[in-house]
Amino acid sequence: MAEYKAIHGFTVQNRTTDPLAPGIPGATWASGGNLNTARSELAGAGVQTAAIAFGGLVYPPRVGINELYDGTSWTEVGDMNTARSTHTGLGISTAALAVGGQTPGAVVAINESWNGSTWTEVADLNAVKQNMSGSGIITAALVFAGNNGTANVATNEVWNGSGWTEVADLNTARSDIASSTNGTSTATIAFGGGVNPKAQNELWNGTAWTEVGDLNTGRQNLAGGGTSTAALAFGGETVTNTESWDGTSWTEVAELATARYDLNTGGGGASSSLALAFGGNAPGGKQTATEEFTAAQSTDTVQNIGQVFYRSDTGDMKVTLNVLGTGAWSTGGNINTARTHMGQGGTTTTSIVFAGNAPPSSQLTELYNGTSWTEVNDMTETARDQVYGFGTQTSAISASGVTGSNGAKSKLVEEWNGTSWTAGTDNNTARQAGASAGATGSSGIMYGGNTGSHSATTESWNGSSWTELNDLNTAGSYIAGGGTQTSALCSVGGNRPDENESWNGTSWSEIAEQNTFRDQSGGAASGNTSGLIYGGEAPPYTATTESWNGTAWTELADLATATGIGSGGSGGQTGSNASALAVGGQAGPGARVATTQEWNVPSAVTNTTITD
Amino acid sequence: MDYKYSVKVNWGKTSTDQFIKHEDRMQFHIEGFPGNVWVTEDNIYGERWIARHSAVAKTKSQAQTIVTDIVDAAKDTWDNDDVDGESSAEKITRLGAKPTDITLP
Repeated sequence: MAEYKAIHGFTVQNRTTDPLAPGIPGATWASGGNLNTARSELAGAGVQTAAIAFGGLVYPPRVGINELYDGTSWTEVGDMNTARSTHTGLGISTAALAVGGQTPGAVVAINESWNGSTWTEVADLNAVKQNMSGSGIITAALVFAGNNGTANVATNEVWNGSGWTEVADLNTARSDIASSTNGTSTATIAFGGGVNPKAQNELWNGTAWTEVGDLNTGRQNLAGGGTSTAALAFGGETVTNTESWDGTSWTEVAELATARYDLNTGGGGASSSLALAFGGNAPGGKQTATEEFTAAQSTDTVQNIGQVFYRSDTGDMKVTLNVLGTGAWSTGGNINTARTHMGQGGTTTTSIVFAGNAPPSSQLTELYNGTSWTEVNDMTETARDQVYGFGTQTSAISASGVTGSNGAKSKLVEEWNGTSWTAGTDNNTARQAGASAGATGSSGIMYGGNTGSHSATTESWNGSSWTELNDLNTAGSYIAGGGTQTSALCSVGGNRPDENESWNGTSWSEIAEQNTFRDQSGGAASGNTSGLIYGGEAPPYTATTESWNGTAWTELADLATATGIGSGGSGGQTGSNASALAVGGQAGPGARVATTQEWNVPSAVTNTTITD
Repeated sequence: MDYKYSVKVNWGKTSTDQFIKHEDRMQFHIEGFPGNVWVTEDNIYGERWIARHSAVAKTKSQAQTIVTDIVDAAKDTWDNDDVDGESSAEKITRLGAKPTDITLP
């Protein structure tokens, strides 16, 4: 019998659950079993499938209630000896500590040890405190920061299984913090808390605290879990935000379903890929809700774009797709010198621009890191603009152009090696104001432009020399383009306001007209099936953006300002209809701009039901 | 993004089912608010979640009223829970911050 794949060319999986998004960025919070007693300012210990929740505030009173979680439901087990809230928890579900907190009468230093069935009072902290956090296990732990009833404290005590010893304070006294609760007594992080901007994060190395990367969203009364190199921060006053710590910085990941604060201190989980949130305050009441944060594990099936699967439980035929959202321009960093008609290469986060007209013509070179532009070594040949350009931040080509002072067209070529420019082999035809395409500095094409009249000439660069190839069908200048040496676009421009052509590595073919006639637009393309044109002179100046998908042009979100970006290398960037950088240009005659605008189309991998 | 509004008590998790599943979170936006109000993205998956739980559909205005009434009651409770001689800072330490208004998306 022939297999399904042999007949249809693809497989269909039979599943009862959807494949999961990979990694921590694909993790989600789902419902866990509800606590039996709604409460806030409680503590916890353990991991997602075996945890305890003890103490807390039921408004009023403070309670000693202790519940055990088995991964599905909570069961009441032995109460603490001293009812309290705002304490902290350490350890696992069968061996835990309940430290400090507030009883109905006072902030306390009380410490109780849980052996899986009963709580026993053990050695108190050296000083009373509440709203602190801790890390470690029942024989080696650390409790730090908090509030002593009158002020926030930076104190830090280490537990050796029988007693507490004061060790080095945090740099900042604060309370209502969270930590990597499954860290150790010699390696943990303490984050958030009640000192603006409530985003501080400190790393403990067993000897001292060092400030490290702040949370993205400052907050207090949050929860945490994990270790000093793989932690989670979640909830807090009053947000759903969850952030993942990789040892260097925090990244926003999936949000809790219910915003809450004063949730579990301790019991947050042993890693940044599996965590537990329970109890807490939300506006309007104490919470029973438990949520489980789960990233795809090594045994799970993860999403595979294009995979079709049948859900036998719901009868749905589904497919995993990369769904593009709505593109938009956002503001990037300004170039240091406002100018137009530059050469450009690279990507939206690693771009290079060079030459251009300020006026006068320029030899300037600037590099972009996704945030700001930095001036680097100038070009070495005659200052010029309307150059052709392509390549990357570490390997780029500038060809031809015009010297503004005398209008002389050039066929000078310069090569950029990431540090400096050196003279390269001249191209064949002196010209200006054409377009270019090339993902690297050793492979690209330049086409069209003005040699004294409109040009249709195409030249190809192989890293050492230029070769003339087939001409454009329609000569033109002030055109836009982009792509690679073997797959490129040539868009609208002077003498060809409605002409677009596609390059297949050998010849140019006419393609569909765009919606808005213009020249001096900016352009970006990854090849001849994905490109963007933006801005230009219609006239007057236009802000319109059009996307090419290989078949048709579609109008999308406008640039913030109607701008003639200027041709001549503008297409050299490695862009597409999902990613481009509009740099400089002019917003009116002589009105040069320094602005950078970043085009981005968000995408999300989703499991989508196939419908009729 | 368009939303739908419904009311349903969060019953958590059983050995065979979850109130909110991981794949729900992958398919649509869902967010819980006071009064067991749930705001779900208006798509096929959000609609299925509402149907799966027989959640009671509300208009945005009705859902907002439920949330506001609960928050207002919580504010009143907080305002009326005073202890002689207690400073505002001490009150916040004792009760937590005063509940704030919530505007549904």
